[in-house]
Amino acid sequence: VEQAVIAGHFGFAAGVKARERAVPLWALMLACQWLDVVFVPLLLLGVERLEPLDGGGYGKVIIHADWTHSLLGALLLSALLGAFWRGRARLVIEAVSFSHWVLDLIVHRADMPLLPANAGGFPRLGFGLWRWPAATALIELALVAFGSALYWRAALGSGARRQANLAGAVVLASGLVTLALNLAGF
Amino acid sequence: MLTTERRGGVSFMLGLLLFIGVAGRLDARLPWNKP
Repeated sequence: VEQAVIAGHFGFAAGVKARERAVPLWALMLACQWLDVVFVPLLLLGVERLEPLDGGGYGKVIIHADWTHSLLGALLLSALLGAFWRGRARLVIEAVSFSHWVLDLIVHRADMPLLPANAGGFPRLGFGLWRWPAATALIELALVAFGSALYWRAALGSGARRQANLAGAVVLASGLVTLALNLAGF
Repeated sequence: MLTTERRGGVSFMLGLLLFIGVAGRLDARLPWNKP
């Protein structure tokens, strides 16, 4: 976890809910973090690990998540989670789960392998946006703000004004709190 | 190392709790979730 991208994934999932209203929000939120949910026990078991850079901090880390964050591993884990749903919801859950890998690809420092356990020794992927932590944090903030706004607007369109305002405010506040805690090192 | 590994754990776990437990429940009450 190590101050990785957290809030940005939630913001993206909130935006998806605005378009895919039949899929429960909780399922989208689980899906957007699914790779990290599986990563945590593997981290505790020592199968995957973190390598802090310059003492650590937001984005200052090489993430050796060679199983959960390999391209094939991410596809398989997304398919596994999607198997609990049917029809369009299944596709949406799979896509949101895999979106975690795509967003991570932008920020990670070339530590994401193609195949689990980096089989074959192919070059690792990652565009390394974390070299500019302020830019990454701003993009996360934009994902939270834009995704929450899309969600809130769509929720208001559902007709239950008071409940929609409450849900929208909680989504936005949760994103901001998560991002602030992450940036503060918690 | 353990201390380092725990960094970010609070925001991750709290994020899951807030978005799945709280926002998810509030969202479930909205009419758009009815089949």
